[in-house]
Amino acid sequence: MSAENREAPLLEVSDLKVHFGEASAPVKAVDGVSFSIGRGETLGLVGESGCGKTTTGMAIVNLVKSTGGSILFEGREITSIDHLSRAEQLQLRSQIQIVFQDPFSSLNPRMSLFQTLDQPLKIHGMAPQDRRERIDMLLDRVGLNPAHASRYAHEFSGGQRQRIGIARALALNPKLIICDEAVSALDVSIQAQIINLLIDLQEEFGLSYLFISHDLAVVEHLADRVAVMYLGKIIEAARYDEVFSAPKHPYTRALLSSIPVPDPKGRGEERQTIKGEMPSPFAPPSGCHFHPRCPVVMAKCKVERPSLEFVDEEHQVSCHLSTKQADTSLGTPKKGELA
Amino acid sequence: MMLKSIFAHKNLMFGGTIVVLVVLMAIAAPLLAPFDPVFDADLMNSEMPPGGEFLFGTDTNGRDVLSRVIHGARISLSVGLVTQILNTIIGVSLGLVAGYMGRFWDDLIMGLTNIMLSIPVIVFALAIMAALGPGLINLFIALGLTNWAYTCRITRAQVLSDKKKDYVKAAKSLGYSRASIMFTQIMPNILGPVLVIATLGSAEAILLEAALSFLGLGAQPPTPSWGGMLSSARDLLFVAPWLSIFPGIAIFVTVLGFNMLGDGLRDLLDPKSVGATKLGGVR
Amino acid sequence: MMKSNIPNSTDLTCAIKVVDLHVDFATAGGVLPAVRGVSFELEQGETLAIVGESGSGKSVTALSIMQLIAKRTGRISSGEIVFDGQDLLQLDEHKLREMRGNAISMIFQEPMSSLNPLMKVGHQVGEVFRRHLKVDRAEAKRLSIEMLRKVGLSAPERRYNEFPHQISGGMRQRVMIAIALACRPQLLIADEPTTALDVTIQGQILDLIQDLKSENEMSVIIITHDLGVVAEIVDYVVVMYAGQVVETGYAREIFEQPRHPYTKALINAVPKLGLRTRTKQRTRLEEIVGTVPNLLALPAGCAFCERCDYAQEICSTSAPSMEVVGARRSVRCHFDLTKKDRHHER
Repeated sequence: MSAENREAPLLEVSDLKVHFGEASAPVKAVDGVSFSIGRGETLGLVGESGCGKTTTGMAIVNLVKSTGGSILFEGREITSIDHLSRAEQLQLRSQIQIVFQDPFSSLNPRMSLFQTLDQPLKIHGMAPQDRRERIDMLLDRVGLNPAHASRYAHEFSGGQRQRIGIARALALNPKLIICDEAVSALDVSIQAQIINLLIDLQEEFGLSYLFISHDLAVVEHLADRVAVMYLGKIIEAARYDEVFSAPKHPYTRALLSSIPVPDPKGRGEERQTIKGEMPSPFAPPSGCHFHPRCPVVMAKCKVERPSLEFVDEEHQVSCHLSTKQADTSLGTPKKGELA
Repeated sequence: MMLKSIFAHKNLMFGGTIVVLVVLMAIAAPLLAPFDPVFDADLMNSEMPPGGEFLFGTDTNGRDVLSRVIHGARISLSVGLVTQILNTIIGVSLGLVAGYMGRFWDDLIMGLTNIMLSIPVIVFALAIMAALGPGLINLFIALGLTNWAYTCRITRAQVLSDKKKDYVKAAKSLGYSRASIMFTQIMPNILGPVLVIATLGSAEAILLEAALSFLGLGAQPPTPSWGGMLSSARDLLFVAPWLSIFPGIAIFVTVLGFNMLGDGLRDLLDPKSVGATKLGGVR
Repeated sequence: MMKSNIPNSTDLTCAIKVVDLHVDFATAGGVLPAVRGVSFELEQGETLAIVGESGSGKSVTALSIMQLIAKRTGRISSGEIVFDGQDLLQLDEHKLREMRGNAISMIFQEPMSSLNPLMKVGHQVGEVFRRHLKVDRAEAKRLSIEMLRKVGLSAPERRYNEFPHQISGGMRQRVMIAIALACRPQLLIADEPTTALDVTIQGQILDLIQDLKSENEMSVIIITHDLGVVAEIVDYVVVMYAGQVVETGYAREIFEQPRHPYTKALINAVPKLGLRTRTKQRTRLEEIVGTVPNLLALPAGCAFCERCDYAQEICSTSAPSMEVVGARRSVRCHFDLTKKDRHHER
């Protein structure tokens, strides 16, 4: 699914920057991020809280204003949509939709399920009869009972609310859906239902996903390609199997090894924890942002910032070690190193 | 369910009953009142004490106090209703704009709100009345334009918290216009607290009307207004106390009713309020 | 760790024993039975996990041990919680207060809301020493700084004077652990201690709990929904569903051979890290259809019946009871998954 469509990506983000605060001392929430998403492709965007992954997603749908770089959707510049006419804005809005993390705050408590789906269709000028048909179709696809259409958000369970959120995102027939931690707040049994639903809908409607998550196991399950973010930058990007079987950046390795695996047989193997915490974007470290926590830090890392380079046809890494030698044999961090 | 939780709130029950009774009294005033409050004046019956034909006695002009008190409910309630509708419309609109648009609009509106809050309503209303002259319509205007600051503040605070919620982000990304996000998405969510403020505000407005009428600025004689009745009974407090007592009780009970209703609504709309079920024998 | 193979081990090795605990809550819709007859035993020095989804009653069970159920709405209606030879439910408020934070401590999911935002973190640790050990101010400060160092805070002398909002989420959880462990409790109850934390921080906190556990010879109860955490550090598992325990057993047994359909479904519902990369294909996750039953209107039979792949007629009419099937191993199901004669899936 990934390789064939690389020539004509649906979404192309290049050198995206979102800086907050004073121009003299900006907080660089997103600092030069580039990636593309093909038609029908899922890009997993992973990282710890505060790494800028959600801000990146919000910038793509223009909920956060980007301060630099460009976002192309089907070859069209959408970095800022203020200059577009209302009709053009509406057309664009219908193409890219979001599914949010919190199934409770993402639905308007004063609107019934029917209104939640009907209003956007109405805004986009659909006739009442067509709207009703479309709503029935949507409810059927996401597995909700049409008889419940008059119910309000609080009458649904968390999983059902997330289905409503997905139906709302699907309502305008988008090409790209940004899933911002869309399954993170759900119980395990419900999470499986929603993940399966997302996969089914992708196949049926040919959707592309930007799947933003901190849960690497879920991302591995869903994504075709994975980009790892750290402090506003992408530090590694590759096909999912590359990232999970041969991670090249020390941070990706650390991230993978700190996940507790639900199998007690693996307990003998030492879990590798990295020391410290992600630094504040208010005061990013010099050189490579990861160097204070890096187990294989070199003198060069403290002064010179590595750039994201291809080490392989489809594998990009931002690390002095990887770019110097294609094949790296990185040391392993010691267990139990603390801040 | 809903009914059950209404019964569980004593304030709501009690206040609601009072308000409903006062409203009924106002609506059915011509039927309930034994005499016409204005034209049935008979100086022969001047200042009769309560009892006999005149249950609440008569005033200096020989008019039945009971009939005047009953008709007075119309004035008081219309003051409460009209001023609160005006206040709510102004407060909610300004609060929505301040909270949602932010920046310049927020500074401007909050500055205005703070000025409004720093001048006592009665002084402000007096100033307007002084400019417009006494009269019921002018009183509506004076009270309706001066008491929106709390509604505005509450609305703005609610908008600021709702603005960050995902449902508003979703609405934006679905292409809702700014106005429809403000009025169709956010506004329904703030009407609960606004209703509470309006109910409590009604009580305040009724008191203010009484005060302004007492000062001779409200409804002009011979219109039967509770405050106006108190005003004209001022000099006769010891000679004919019923002239003060009955309108006084009417004001007291109505204001109490609105206040309890407001408190009750606040409890009812508070999601944290506990349900009616009781557990026996807590250990 | 040594484990005794004798079922129903004697009280000497037992850290805490919960017997037939029932907890009810008052709601607008009626009395909600949040915990319905929960029993389990925790041995000295053991780490026990109560696993379940939201609404399973796992957190309520933990709060009951500390007796932190809000009296206005909740009530422990029956049961026994035996700790140190006495039933905690019979203790008066004074004795309870002495025990809380001293012999039994608790840490919560959200460290920001469990710390006092207006108090320096050092003072919050020091307060525990002053209350329970009756030491003076200077000594409390010395002990607090030592404790903050022990939980891995860098520059504890500086952190001592900082407020909760000035430190990160991971550090706040460390401070909570410092407070909880200040008086070297015999039992630590951790309610989703790592759920709000990032994965790299989660690893650090789990390691810390493990290290401090062996150092202080304490027993730990972890409330979690994360089977990864369970597999990583837990000895003994109690699986809860709809207010009841549905399966108990040692972690290894639970993962290798789950006996309750719910436990099995729970294990299979999470994506396995590395599986898709290894097999190059996406195996469909096993869904548990439907949602948890409404505790206000529980079905007559097994609470899991409607979502169960193996349900038979009897499941909808009669509620199964807890069957002991091995050493400290029990299951609440009419059709134990390991029994050979049951291959008729629905």
